[in-house]
Amino acid sequence: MKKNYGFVWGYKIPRPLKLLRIMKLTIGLMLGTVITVLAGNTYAQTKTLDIAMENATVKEVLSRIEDQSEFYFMYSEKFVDVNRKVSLNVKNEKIKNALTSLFEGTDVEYSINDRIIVLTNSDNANNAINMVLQQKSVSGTVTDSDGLPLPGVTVLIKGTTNGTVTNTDGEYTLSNVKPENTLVFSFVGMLTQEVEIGNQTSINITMVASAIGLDEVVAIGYGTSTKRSLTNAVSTIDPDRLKNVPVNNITYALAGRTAGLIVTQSGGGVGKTSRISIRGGETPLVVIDGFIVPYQDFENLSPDDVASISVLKDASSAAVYGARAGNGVLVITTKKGNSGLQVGYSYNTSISEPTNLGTKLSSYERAMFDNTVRSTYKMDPRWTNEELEKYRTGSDPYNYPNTDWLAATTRDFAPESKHTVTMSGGSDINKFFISFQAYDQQSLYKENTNWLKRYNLRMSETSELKKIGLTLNFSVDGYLTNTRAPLSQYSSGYWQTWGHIQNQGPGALAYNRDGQIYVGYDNPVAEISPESGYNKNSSKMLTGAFNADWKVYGVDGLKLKFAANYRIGESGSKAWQKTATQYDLEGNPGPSFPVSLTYGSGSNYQYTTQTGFEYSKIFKEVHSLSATALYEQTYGFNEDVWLRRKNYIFLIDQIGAGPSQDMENGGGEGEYGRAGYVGRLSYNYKQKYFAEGSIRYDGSDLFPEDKRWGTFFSGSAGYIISEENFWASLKEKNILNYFKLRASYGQVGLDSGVGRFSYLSSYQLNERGYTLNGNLVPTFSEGALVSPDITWYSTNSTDIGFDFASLDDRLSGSVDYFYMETVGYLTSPSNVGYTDPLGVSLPQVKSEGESRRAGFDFALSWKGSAGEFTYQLGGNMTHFNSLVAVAWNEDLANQKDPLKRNVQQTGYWGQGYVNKGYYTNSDDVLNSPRRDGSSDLVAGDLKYQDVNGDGFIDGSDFVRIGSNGFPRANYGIFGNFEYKGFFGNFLFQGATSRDMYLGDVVRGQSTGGYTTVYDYQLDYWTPDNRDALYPRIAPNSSINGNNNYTTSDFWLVDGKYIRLKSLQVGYELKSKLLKKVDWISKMNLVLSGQNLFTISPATKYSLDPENGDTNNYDYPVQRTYSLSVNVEF
Amino acid sequence: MKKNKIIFLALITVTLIFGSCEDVLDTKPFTSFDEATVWGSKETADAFVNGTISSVMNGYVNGNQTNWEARTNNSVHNQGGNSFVREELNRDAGEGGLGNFGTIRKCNLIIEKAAEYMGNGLSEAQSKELVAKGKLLRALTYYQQARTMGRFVWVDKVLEPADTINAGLLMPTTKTTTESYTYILADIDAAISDLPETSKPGELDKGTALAFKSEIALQAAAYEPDAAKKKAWLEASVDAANKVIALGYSLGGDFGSIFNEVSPYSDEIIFAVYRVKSNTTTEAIAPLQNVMPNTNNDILIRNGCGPLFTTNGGQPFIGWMWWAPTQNLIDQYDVIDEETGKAVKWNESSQYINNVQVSNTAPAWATEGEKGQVRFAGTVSGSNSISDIMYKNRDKRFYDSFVYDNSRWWNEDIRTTVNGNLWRKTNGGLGPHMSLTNYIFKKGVYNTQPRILAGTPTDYHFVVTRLGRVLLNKAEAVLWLAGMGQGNFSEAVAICNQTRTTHGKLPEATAGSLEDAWKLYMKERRVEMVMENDYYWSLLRWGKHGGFANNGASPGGKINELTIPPTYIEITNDRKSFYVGTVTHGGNDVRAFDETRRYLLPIPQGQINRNPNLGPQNPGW
Repeated sequence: MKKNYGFVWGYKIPRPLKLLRIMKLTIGLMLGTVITVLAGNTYAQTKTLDIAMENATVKEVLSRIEDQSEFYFMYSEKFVDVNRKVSLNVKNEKIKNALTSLFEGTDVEYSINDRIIVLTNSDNANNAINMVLQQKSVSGTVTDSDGLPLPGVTVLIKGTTNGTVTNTDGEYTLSNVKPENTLVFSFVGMLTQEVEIGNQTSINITMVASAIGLDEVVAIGYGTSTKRSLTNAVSTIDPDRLKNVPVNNITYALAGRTAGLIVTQSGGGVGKTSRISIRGGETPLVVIDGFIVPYQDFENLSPDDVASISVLKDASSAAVYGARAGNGVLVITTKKGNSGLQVGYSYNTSISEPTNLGTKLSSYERAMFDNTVRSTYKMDPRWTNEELEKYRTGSDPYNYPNTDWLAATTRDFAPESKHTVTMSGGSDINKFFISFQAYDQQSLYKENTNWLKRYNLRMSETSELKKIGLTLNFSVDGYLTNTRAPLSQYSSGYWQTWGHIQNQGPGALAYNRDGQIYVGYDNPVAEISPESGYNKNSSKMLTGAFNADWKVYGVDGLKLKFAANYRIGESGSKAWQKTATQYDLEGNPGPSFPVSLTYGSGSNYQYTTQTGFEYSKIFKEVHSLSATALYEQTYGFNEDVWLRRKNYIFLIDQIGAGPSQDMENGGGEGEYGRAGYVGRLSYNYKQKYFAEGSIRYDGSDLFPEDKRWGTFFSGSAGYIISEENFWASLKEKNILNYFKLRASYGQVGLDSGVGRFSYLSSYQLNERGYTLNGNLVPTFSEGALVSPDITWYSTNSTDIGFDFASLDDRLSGSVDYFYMETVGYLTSPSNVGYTDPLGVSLPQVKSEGESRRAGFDFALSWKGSAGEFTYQLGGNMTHFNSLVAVAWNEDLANQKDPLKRNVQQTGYWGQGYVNKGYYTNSDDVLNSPRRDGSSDLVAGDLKYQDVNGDGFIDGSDFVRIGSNGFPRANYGIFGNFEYKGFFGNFLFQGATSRDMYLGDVVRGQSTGGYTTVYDYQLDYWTPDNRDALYPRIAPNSSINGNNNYTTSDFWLVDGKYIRLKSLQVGYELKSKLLKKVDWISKMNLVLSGQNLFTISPATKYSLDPENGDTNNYDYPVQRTYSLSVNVEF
Repeated sequence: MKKNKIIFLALITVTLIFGSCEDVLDTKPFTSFDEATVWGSKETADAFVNGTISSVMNGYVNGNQTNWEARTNNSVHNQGGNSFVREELNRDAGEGGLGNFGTIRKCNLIIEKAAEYMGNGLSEAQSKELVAKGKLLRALTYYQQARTMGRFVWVDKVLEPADTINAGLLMPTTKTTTESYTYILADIDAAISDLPETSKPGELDKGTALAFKSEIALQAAAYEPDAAKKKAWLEASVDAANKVIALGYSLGGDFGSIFNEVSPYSDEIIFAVYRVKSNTTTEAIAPLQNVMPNTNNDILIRNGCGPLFTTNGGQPFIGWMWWAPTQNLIDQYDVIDEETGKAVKWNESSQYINNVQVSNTAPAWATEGEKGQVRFAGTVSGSNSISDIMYKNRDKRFYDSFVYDNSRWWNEDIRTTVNGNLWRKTNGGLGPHMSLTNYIFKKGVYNTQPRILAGTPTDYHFVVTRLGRVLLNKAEAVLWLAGMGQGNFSEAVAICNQTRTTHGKLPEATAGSLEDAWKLYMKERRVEMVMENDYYWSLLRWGKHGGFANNGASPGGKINELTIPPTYIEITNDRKSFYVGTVTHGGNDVRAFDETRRYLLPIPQGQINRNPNLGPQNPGW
């Protein structure tokens, strides 16, 4: 089922759209239709209608029929007088009889083609019949880009009014055609295509959705809309683009996909997620199938279950979700069932490797370097010539080794695999969708000690009790994610292990002669060993949801809605901290570290109910009004317990096996609640002028009882100028086929930054606070001061944008400017003024604090085709900047310093000295202001700027440096192609400048000495190498009072990048090879790659611009290659 | 149509009313402790006091012990000297905890709430005892600020948000050390009478307050310009010390065991902070984890060092050493002269003079790069071992405080000679994990089983104050008073002999003059109080005294000891030859002391910028 046609078989379409489309039908179509009632009209023969209308127009009657049934009408007002007043009273009648009485006494004739009913007049009908009689035909099938038949496509002979429309199987036959004729295929929401007939008797066509997709249904807050009607800043992501992408969770797949969404990766690894930001905000709120869900549910969502993703970018669209929506909202709908049975299976397997790791020095190079440095400073050499020789030749590999720690700990590729089974089907009354996915991810670690396994299940069943207008949906979805990570005395995660893989010198041993893990702290081989312990985590979620919509009988356009869900979450952890035994060269075991076991278990439940109504009606044909009101409430409860035993003597990873002495346990419970009343009113006049307003009366239990509720309004308006008559020529000439202006303003209430129950006084208990007489005793301490005056603050956001389509709808796009200000931050005045003697922060109060964020985003898309080659190219970009306009948490003294203050500053990295390059000689050292605390400066040391010009470089010259650490602009450039059975797509994704501060190892510094790990670090200053990457090397980084390594902009590196984020090539076997195998409806193979190449200035420091740590203390970003097989039956 | 409208409205109303049950917002915390719970009984109030003791006392122990020791030449850090010893500090430096108002608030809460809840869960005696503890803790918090910066912001009540109105919290600092110490000593005096005479280990009592008083009064007197006031405080110090002595503490016969697992509850200890292994592992204890070397047999074999270790699979030493004692410190421990039976400096004994040929030039066997570090060298004649000559018959505290060449430790024969198993270069070069001086700290090292290894559970206790310390406080006050013409220095000599004979097992020393008495006392205090967070503060006092206490410098002059570079010893593998050299690694030899400002550290300038009333800045910063 393809949403962007605006019409699909069996799919109920909002009436305004249908009318519009009908009006668009051309005269030619009318001529081509025949009165014959074609075969396959079982629906027409079984469907019965009940209509009682007095003095209504024909049009209204037709609309009513459409509402009651799946029929829809095609006619031209030129031939059919639909404004004729009629009265019709039928009960339990078939369509044929209803139409007969409706058009009795007119020349209107009709043909019923399954669910399509074409109305025309008798004159034209005769012409059509004549044509049919003379048929010498060309025929074919029209399909969509998924290969599904497309009914209702108009096929015209160019330059004439002769033509036809495709039937339910997408087939057409045209008679009386000549070889020189050109056929024109057109369909609403699709690009028009022209094909010369020539000597062909069969012409098959693949239609391509037009770039603009105006009638695309878009999920918005508590409802749906269409692109045409949207007055807010909402962008969508095509879920097809998430298919087959070899990513371990949905967050990775979204980068570069749409305007306004900024997705930044932060290293790789098992279970890692990308950071998602809407227009530069913090983590957005996620709504799945109408309910706000914990963000974790989004991270665990199977990308294959997604039917649509809308990004609500401005407050006007997001505000209905109340507090928490200030950072924007991702509205996701999942797949639902279709009639007919369809079973699908997909398999994806992929391998990944690090994108960019630097070349490390060998032990010989390191030893040579040690001696070079020491000889520079006239110190005894660290290594004798014999020792150097041993390193060089490797003749004594156990005493003078050359260990490649990466090779010792990792394999070349980390494997992943994914199986997905889906089943959907049903009848008119019941439809179901079931999907199951199993995903297995392993890490680069040599031993399979770090993995993630995830299972997703989703079931949805929709029943339509048409007689009483009731639609019921039940769904269950859940996931189970299990992860395992190694745990030892040396490491509890990637930060340590990857730090150790980098930092362990090549002169250290990984294994002894017998292949046993060698002794020593922080040996990463021990850390990843299966002999070491583990940290196992499981996360389980099960949500049941119920939705009921009742079209209230007798009240046209009113729908009552009730929805509820109940979510059960469980988390479990088991941490077995054990360190693999290590051995020295003689095989003696090394120290045994204490072993402990900690279990943790948490469970929670949350339910949400929504009760409300929707009312929509068109008054006098031109005034469309719709209203939504509902009440929503959420309650959640969580509890957790943990228990621990330490110093295991029997190494059995069970709690009962541990010593009961010193065993510990703990736990707690908590609850939370939220509520809100939502109202929305939308109005449009002739689908040309749009206005919408919404309100949320929001309640949060974070505030004291009398300050719980806040009211937040928003409003928006749209104007489709291209619908105006004066625009007609621009449309005809295909200069601007569509142009819409939008503006919105809205308020979102915020309650973030408030601790739970901070309006109540409390003391804190530390169970094991102090040792008295040899025993641990509890201690008390005072909690934060009571904050009685906390209440809502808000983000106010303005968005102005336009949507356009040009060049016959082939080129389309949207541009938005946004401006948000958050005002009234809750803060303790202690953050600003001097209240230190109080000994505790003042209670939080509403402040004058204000921050602003503004920017633009745009998206452009070009769709085209050449015969069976169809393609789409496009791009999007989001740019923002932000500043604190009125400080609320910055100390007054800092605010007063123009060089340091944060207030009124757009993106900068932080504070540090400003470097002026290297000192060139001793005169330069003597004649330049010296940093307070620096000593023994020489040429090759870093020189800093005396920013305030007082002759000293001290704390007051420690000023704002660099640019923002989070990129201000992100962009994506994509292309999708299809040709015959082949399809492919690419996505380049990038970010503009951002500053990354190099970590100490990459800086070449560490406490007590230099660290030279990589070859590029040998480019240090010497009198002969004055434009070096690094300052002079010294045996001790603090030799000059740590002059070179104090925070300065010298160590900032631009992390801008562009990378080939995704590339896919696939082939649909059904197009040729399996054409005749009827039991397979679809089967394709897809090859894809992620992060295939990257261009960035950061790579010269062997840093991936999206890595998790500028010291490389994290699992590296991965380049992934994958193969997918998708089959549908 | 009318009917429809009615249905319409009715449905909406019903829907919204049914929907709206807002009790989801009536959430409550499931565990909470309110004020009445905490202060309404002695047990719960004590729990608050215990938490406060923990925060206050941590300012005296653990990292504070090791760090302040390394700011003198008693100890060096193997990764290099720090900006503090090089006088590279600036006025932004924040030492001493100005702004430790959170702890002060805790103390004031105890003082106010204990009084408020008297008769409401607390008896009068209980209330008074709690108030006394609050005052003592407040004094001990402020003392940490007074001895660093000399000044602090005196807050003697629980401030309320209302007090912030009209910039009410832009409070000034005390103006002089006199004012500061007056507040502190008044608090202690007020506390003493209501504190219990005896207590469980870890609790505050009269002894704790008096012991601190004896020291704080001394520090106060050193900085006191007014002679009469100075004298009064010195007398107060003596008086407090006398009261401690009267409480019945006694010097421990086995010095080393006071600081390890053997006698954690020794009668000498007045107050200690205890840790138990159920929630303590070695890496949380700096004077344990960070004084233990790290090497193993594989390294010994590769680098030609030995003897090989015999225990723990050849890996008995697996700590994270940073700090090591210096030769300068070792020099202070007397040796009993084999001929005279008198205690003398190690290189002034007859066994040394008769057997060792001393030279002021570097021996040929010193490496080229280290020849310049040599201060003097010696070669032993005959079959004698230089290690025996240097290390035998020393002050017992030497053996209890250090590991040295040819000693036995953790059941291993320790060799710190060239190519020895715990030699400073056993691991290759100088740097992490090994001592820069060929000595290792032993005082305060628990015999943690199986080994001192990060993650290993251990009990521990940090001795905060003890009788030996109090006796020496008294000795100093006596000496000072004697110099002012009151009393006799011989009383101080007698006190020094108490610790010297009981702890050092040395023969009694004599001093014929006040100058000699000072020398004896200063040496005694230095050897007695190693790693007890004392030497730096004593040096400041002695510098303030000047004269006999500071190499003849005038009061407030340059403190010579803080400019003398640290030294190490290097002994040849045959133990026939040695030299004493300057530790230059990591710039450890760069030491400076600017007497115009260093007696008081700066009030962090950033704080003065926030509240000008904290100024003016201390002189010189």
